Order: sequence, then C-alpha cells, then structure tokens
Amino acid sequence: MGRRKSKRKPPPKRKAIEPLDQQFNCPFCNHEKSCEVKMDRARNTARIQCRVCLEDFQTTTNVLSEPIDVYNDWVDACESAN
Amino acid sequence: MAEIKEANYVPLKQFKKIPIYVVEEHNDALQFIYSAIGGKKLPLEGITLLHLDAHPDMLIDRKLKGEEARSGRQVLPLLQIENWIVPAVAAGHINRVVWLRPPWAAQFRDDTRVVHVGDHPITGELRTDCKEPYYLSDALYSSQLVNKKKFIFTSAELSDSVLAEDHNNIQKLVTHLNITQPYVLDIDLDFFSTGNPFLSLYENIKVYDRLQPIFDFKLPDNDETETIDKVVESRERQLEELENLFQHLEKFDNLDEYEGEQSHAYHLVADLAAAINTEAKKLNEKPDWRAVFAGGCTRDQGGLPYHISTEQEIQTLVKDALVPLLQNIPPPVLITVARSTDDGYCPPDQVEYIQSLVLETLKEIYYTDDPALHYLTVNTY
Repeated sequence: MGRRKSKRKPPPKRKAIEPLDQQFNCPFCNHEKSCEVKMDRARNTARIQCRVCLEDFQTTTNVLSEPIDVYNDWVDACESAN
Repeated sequence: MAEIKEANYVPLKQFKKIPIYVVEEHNDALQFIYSAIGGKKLPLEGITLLHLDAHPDMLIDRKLKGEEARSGRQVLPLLQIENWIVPAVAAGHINRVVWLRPPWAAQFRDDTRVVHVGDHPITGELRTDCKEPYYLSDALYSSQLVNKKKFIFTSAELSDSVLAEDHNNIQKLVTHLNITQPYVLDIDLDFFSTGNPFLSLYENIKVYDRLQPIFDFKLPDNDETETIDKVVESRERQLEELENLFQHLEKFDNLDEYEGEQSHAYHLVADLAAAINTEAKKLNEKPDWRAVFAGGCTRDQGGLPYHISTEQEIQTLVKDALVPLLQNIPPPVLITVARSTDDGYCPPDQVEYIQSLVLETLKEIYYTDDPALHYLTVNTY
C-alpha cells in the first residue's frame, strides 16, 4: 500500500507508457521495417542499418534516446543532405 | 556511411509546430518530456517546468531510490500523479520548477527557493533538504544527501484577481517568474476547478474529518537540523505504523489479530474501522481501506484544495489569467495537459468544457500541432 496523495482507488491495470517502435522503414530502399538500431549506451552513440540495402548511419545519443530518435536523426540527415 | 556528429556538442532540433499532449493522469506527461529530450528537442539538462496546477505534484515516493530516478525511462512506470516531477529533477533534466497555483491552493508559501534533491546516504532513497511542511509531513527531508542536484523552485498565485488589481501586475508577475527557454508548459485542468475525491468517502460518518487526528502531524518549533531530523524520524515511525494498521485492515477488515503495538494510533484506527465497517455494511459494500488510508495521507496539512468553479469563473481564469501570462512569456518547446478527472480532481462534468477552452486558447496563442489525445489510447484493462 503506497502512501498516495491522490488516488481514490488503486490504479487499474493499464498501459499508459507508450511502447516505442524498434524497427523502421528504410529511407533509401523503402523496405518496410528493415532498419534496426544498435544503441551503445556506454559511448552515447547508436547505429542504424538497413538489413536489405545495408545503408547505415551513426549518431550521438543521450540517456533518454530511443531507437526512434536514431531513426529520426537519420531521416533529418537525409533531408538536410537533399 | 554518414559521419558521426561531434560527440560533445549536440545542437537542439526544433519541432516544426509546438506539440500538445493531453494525458489523463498527470505523471503520464513525463514520458513526452523525456521523449523530447531523447529526440534532442529539449536539452538533457537545464529545463524549466512551468506547472499550472491546484496541486504541486512535488512529492517523492518514499521507496523510490535515487538510482531508479536516474535510470532514464525505466522510472516512468514507478511514478504517480503526486510525485512525477522531483525524479526528473534528481536525474538532472529539470533544474527549475515554477508552480502556478489557483487562489484556493496553498500547499507551499509563495516564494522562490533553492532546493536540493539526492539520495539518502544510508538507504539510497530519494530525499530532499527542503524543510517546508509539504516535505516534512511526508518524512521526505534528509539533512545529508549524496548525488545531489540543485533546483530553483518558485511558487506563485496566478489568478484574474491578482492580475486585475493593477495594470502593471502582469509585467510584475512575468518579471518575477522570469520564464526562459527551453521550458515545458504543463497545465493540469484541475487548476481551473478543483475537486477533492476524499470528501465523499463515507461522508455520512464524516470519515475525512475523523482522519485528521489520526494522521495529525506537529511541525517542528524551530528549523535546526537536529530538531528536524528528530521530527522526521518520529513522523516516519508514525506513517509506518499507520501503513501497517491499514494493511492489516485490507487483509482482515478488523484489527483483532493485529500483532503490533496497541498504541494510541491503534485505538483511534480501531474505532474508525468499526464505524466504517458498520457504514459499509449499510451501503452493502466492502470497506475501501486503501482509499481511507490514502485520504488520511492528505490530511496532514489540513486537507487537499477544494473549489468547484462556476463556468464564469473558469472563463475568467482562462481569459484574464492564463491568456495574459502566455502572451507575455516566450513560447514553450512543448505543452502537456493533464485532465485529472478519472480520480476526481477535475470535476467530470466540467472537464470537457475546460479542456476545449484551454486547447482553443493554446491554438490561438501558439503555432501548434493538433493535440495528441493520449488519454483516448490508454488501455485501462
């Protein structure tokens, strides 16, 4: 029993923290969910690679970065290159 | 392969439009703040939280360890509506909290102070060095902290009456608050009309009033560290005893087999339990001991704020308090809005009206995305 300021009743079982995507569409070959991210938490870096066309990208991360952030960095980098 | 960016400096990205996330329970707002940090839209450190709410939400879960607070997104499922802000401070992300309260809320005195939060050196549990009653009454004070983080905490009233008295008052308030980017604008809809769900708890036998002496807490008569340490230790023991008593009630509905000390608190709780059992029988329901205990926990400083506003009062608060404030400070990086209605803090018959008024106002003032209505997608079963 927690010491709660605010709840009238115990919380229902719920899924309020949104699960984040782990696989992404490739911005080069357009294959769906073909890109996977490897986070290197110790070095604050991450790498994403398409297993179909093998294009890849590396970026810096922080303690709150998630695979979606790495993918977004890649898409942003593609947009600014174009 | 694209080259890795400079490791030491990560320039912030910008949202094209300011996102608005609407959640039901206020702690669910933090995931969107954390996502914006992970997505480099907010810095990892040095964020200001501008928090409009009838409740400060600045408590700390007594069992939460400092290392859990610093564990990134893993802390999110551990948080509740009353304690979701300080862990983000302990993690170093937020270094300034500005709590703007409606006139009927007064859990903190209006002031700006420097507060530290960190780990208790022995237990590792998250604690603060703030000596104000809000923290003392929850035994959350510790004179010694490790992995300390400093933050600036401002509390101030925001209301049409405060701003109306003098035409320069909005400028005075804005200067006093000194809101600078990057900041998150966070609005609880109960700021505009505030319910207290515990008032209706077995109201025929006035349970909310009867909880007052049981959870009573005497503030220290001076602020010397030694005195405060003693008060906190004694409060900690009192809360533990009450928790044990109510846990026993949760299992057995009475204290007959309770093995702990038959103290003054024991007798008070036993008398209350007998009255509740009789009332629950009349109502043909099982006593809700958890709710009674939770209600007691809100009684240490005289109870939670309660003020059901009229539609006119709500409109005035939006038009003559929220709007002038937002027009006179820089735009936020993102906006979070909490409905707080399922648990009775924003009156259910008013929440839709308040929400539409607030969202309309935000759209008029800022260049925003369509609000993301997170509360509609939450699986509650």
